[in-house]
Amino acid sequence: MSAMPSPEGGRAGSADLYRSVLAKYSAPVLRGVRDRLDLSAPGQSATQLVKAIEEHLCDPSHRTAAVSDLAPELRPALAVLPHMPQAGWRADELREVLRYLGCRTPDKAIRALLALGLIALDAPTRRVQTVQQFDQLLAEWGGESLLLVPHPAFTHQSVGIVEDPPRRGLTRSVRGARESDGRELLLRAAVLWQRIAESPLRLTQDGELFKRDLERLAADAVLGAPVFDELAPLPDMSQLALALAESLGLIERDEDSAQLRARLTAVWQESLPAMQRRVWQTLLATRRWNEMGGDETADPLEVRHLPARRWATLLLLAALDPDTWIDLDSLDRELSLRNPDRASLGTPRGPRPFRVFMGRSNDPAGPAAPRSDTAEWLETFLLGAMYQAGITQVADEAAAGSPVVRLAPLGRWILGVGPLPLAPPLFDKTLFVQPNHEVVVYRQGLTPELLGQLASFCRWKGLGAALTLELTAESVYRGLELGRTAEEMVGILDRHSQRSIPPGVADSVRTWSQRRERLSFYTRSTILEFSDPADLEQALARGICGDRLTDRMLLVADERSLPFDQFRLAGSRDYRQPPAVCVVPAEDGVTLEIDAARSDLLVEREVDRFADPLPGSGNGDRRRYRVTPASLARAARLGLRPAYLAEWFRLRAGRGLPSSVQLMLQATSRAPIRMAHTVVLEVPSEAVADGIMQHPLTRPHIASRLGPTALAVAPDKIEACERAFRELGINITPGTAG
Amino acid sequence: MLKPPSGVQGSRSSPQRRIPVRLHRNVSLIKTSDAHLAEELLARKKLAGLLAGRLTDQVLLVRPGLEAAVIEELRKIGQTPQVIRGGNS
Repeated sequence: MSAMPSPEGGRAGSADLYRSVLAKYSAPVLRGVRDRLDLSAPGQSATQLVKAIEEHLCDPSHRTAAVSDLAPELRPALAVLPHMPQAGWRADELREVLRYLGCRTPDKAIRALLALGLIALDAPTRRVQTVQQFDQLLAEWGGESLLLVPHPAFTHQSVGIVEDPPRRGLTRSVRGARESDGRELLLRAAVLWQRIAESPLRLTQDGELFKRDLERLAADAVLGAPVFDELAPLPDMSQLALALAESLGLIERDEDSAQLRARLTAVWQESLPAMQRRVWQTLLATRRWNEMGGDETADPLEVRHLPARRWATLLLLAALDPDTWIDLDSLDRELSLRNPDRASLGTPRGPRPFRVFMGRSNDPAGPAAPRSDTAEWLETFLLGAMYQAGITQVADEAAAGSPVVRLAPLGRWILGVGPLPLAPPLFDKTLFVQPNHEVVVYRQGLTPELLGQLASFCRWKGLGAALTLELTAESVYRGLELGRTAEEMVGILDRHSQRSIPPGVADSVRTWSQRRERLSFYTRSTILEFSDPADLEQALARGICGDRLTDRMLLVADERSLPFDQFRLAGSRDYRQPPAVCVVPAEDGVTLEIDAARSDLLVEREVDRFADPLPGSGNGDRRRYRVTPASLARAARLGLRPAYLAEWFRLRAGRGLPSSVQLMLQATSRAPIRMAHTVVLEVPSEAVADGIMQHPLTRPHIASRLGPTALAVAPDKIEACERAFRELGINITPGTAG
Repeated sequence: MLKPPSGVQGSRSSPQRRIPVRLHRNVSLIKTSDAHLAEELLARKKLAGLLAGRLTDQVLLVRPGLEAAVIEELRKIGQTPQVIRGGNS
């Protein structure tokens, strides 16, 4: 029995997790575990007990002794123990796996492992006070986050296999055995990684991906290209690649920009078997993707059962001898028999309710049992996902020609029932670089390291027996952004190329790289603003590193490197916060004063775009500007619309757009203002004005109402208006022109 | 990038005047290799709308919260900026 590979995260980290979960138990519960382990720990405190239990179970002989008395019906739990994720397994999932493996009392089995400290129970917001609470929590807990964390030593040592292995449909005689190169799914993850590096995916406020981005990925011709060496199609490849890229740590969430971004990670340095193991782990645990066609078409209940079903299938295969194959129909029946929901599903009906045999049946195997609803799933899982990951081998049964399957050597190693397979000979010179900047790569020599390197600065063009990539200005730029240098890129191509790379290609990489030097974009940087140039010089002399922007300003990309004890803070402004009100408009509305004490770097640049600085206003605390028709015309040319100015005054001056500025905007908008001679009719009261506006004799002569007691009469209607008033018996007194 | 002169580290231990400074944090900006390139960028109407203005001949201030849009726009017009992500405590 081989040792399992050292899991990611390290054993120390998983031991810490196990201890921290165990530390949530009360002292009586810990003493109960100690007693079950026959452990003579001297300490009595909870901390001492946790340490003693964890250390005790690190010894293989202690582990063997601990499980030696386990009842036979509970032993299937031991087959699962080595494969539990170190971060913990949801209790409902473990329960289901155990049931699939023939354990009729899964809660009792989990309870037994808990009592021995082989796993620890993590119930958020709850502290395990008594041993009986294990049962209560397992029976009553409704939440999904009841986690079972294994002791780290078990992830390194297989302690048992399924004790009731499949017995039907087995064969050793096969033809046409096939095994994939195990690279296909890694390639898809690498393609997705590159696409995200090219164009990060946006996140909604809920942290989900936008439908449009998902559709873009689904439509990607390379990501969705037919799988090389395909036995069973894999649905929704972009979702699968996303799940893989996430679990491999190739992408990260950037909360500041609400994006999912690609990152260069050391995971590509791992060996191919280690990467395949990671892919395998993802395929087993993922809910983002499923074998039945993505998350939209699948029955949620079915999806919930998937992890358990996947585990059960592989553990059944692991229970077979290395040279034994099983046909898919038999495996399907085996799983159906073990399906925990079998009773509720009923017996599936065949295509006909009965068959009549006259004389002897010519089918020695008897009537074929109908395929269960899991048959298709099983095909996709074993002949699709697991085959492409290099976990299973597929062949045809020698006599009947039906497909049979078994664990590949890699699968047996991953499941802890076989040695690490020998690495195939490596072809280091596995690519060609064409003068047209195309790169052709043969899969045989493709290590994860080379895959990660190429994907970081070449663009995928096609997947197949040979892989095609191309070098473009964009792809080289992306490589630079991921932290590579031009010489690194040329070196990688040169090292793996069967011929020297064309000089033109190397020149292109270097030229494209130099273009990037023309423009630097600093995000979330810090600017130190000194009161005078001498202070800036002094700061530099004291060893402050930075990029001089002006004679008083120093740019520091990462302020964590600053020795703050060298400075006296005269003010601090965080530009992620809303802008401060620091502009005071004068009474005329067109003169603006900036309060230097409250201002920031942006405000003067903002004002510069729509107002002119007033001469001699640079001294003192207040800098003054004036809004003029010419400055507003300049703003219009820059695309600053009245709505922008209104919003700016609201944020910076704490008020709306001044009327005098609105007046000038009226001018720049070129909407006409009318000027005309008119006669003003002044009346003694508002009621009289209302009457004139309402009466049919007077209304037609009024051009507009100027105010509560003032009305405008058009010059050509004065006489008619006077006649109307006389007819109503109202005298009009002529006024004097003002 | 300005580096500290050699031999200045030791001077930190002696009592010194604390330099008054105003801190501008989480600022996003574009630094160009020459003033002409900055002019060229400002002449792009869509890009100019995403910028707060010009700090110096070669430095353009980016309006807060529009960093991703600026990078996208720069790439659209064929520029390949070196993105330097800062970090603040």
